Amino acid sequence: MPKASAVSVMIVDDQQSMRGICKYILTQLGFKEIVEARSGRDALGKLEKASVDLIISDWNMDDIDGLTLLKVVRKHPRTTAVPFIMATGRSDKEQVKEAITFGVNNYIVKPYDASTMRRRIEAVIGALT
Amino acid sequence: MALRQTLPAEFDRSVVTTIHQGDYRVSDQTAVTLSTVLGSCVSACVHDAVARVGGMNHFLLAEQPGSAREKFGASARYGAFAMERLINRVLSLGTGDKANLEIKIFGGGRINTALDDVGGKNIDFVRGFLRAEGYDIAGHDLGGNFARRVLFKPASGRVFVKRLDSAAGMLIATQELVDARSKHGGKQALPDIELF
Repeated sequence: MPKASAVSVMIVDDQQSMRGICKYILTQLGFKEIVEARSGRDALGKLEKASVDLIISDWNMDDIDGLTLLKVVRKHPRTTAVPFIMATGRSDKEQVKEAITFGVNNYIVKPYDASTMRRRIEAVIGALT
Repeated sequence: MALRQTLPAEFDRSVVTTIHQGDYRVSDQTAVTLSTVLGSCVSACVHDAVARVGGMNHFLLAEQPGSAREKFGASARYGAFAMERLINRVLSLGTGDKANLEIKIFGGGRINTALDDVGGKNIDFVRGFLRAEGYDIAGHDLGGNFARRVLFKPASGRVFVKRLDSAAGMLIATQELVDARSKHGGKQALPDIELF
C-alpha cells in the first residue's frame, strides 16, 4: 500500500493553469514529490535526469503530445514500467483505445476533482495511505 | 475595439450558431457567425489569424475565487477547462502555433449591484488565466452594468458587440447563475466510458 508522500509524480501539461490545478489536487491527496514539465520535450529531458514513480500527462500538447511521450517512455528501458495516466479533454473511446495499445495505465477526463484523481491513481499503483 | 450602432453586413447574411453557457464551438466557415448573450458570464473569442479558424466559449464561475485555496477550486477548474478546450481545439484545427492566436474577451457585467460583483470576479479569472498562459488580450469589452450580445465571425476574427438594456440584463444574469450552479455546483461530470 503506497504512501502518497513517498510517491514521486511528474505532471506534464503545456498549460500552467492545468499544471497548477493538478498539483493542487495531488497535494490535497498527500503527494509531496511533484515534478512539473511544461511540455512533452521538457518531460523527456527531466526523465533523463531523475526517475519518477508516476506520470500524469495531458494529451494535447504543442511539441510532443501525450501519446508520443507515452511511446517514448515505454521504449526507454529505465521508464518503460513507470505508470502513466493520460489526461484528456473528452472521453474519446478510440483515442483511449489507441493509448491502451501503447501501454497507458489509466486515463482521466478534465475537469476532474480530487476523488476522481485518487481513484485513477489507486487503480494504477494501489490504495494510497 | 470600436462599438458601432449597426450590424455590419458580414454578420447579417450568415448562419448563426448560439453558444450557450458551458458550450464552445470552433469553425473555419466564412458563413458562420457564433453568437452569445452575456450578463455576468464571460466569453472568449479565439482566432488563428493565419489559418482563419476561430472559436467562442461561454462560461460563468459560480463560486468565486478569493483565497489561495479557492484558486484551484471546482469553479476555477471548470473555467480553466473551458478556456483550455477552446484554445486546444482552435490550435488543432489551425496552425497549432500559439503565437498566431488572437484572443478577445467579453462580458462580466455587474448587472445586479446589490449582489457580489460576480462579473468582476469572472473578469479577474479570465485575465489571470490568459496572463498565466502567456496570451495577450487582443480586444475586450468587459464589466459595466449591462448585458451584451456578442457576435463573432470565427473565420475572420471580427466581433460585433451590442449592449443590452438593464431589464434584459437582470433576467440574463439571474438565469446565468441558476444555470451555472446546476451545471457545476461542485459535482463533476462522469466520463462516459470506463475501460479500467
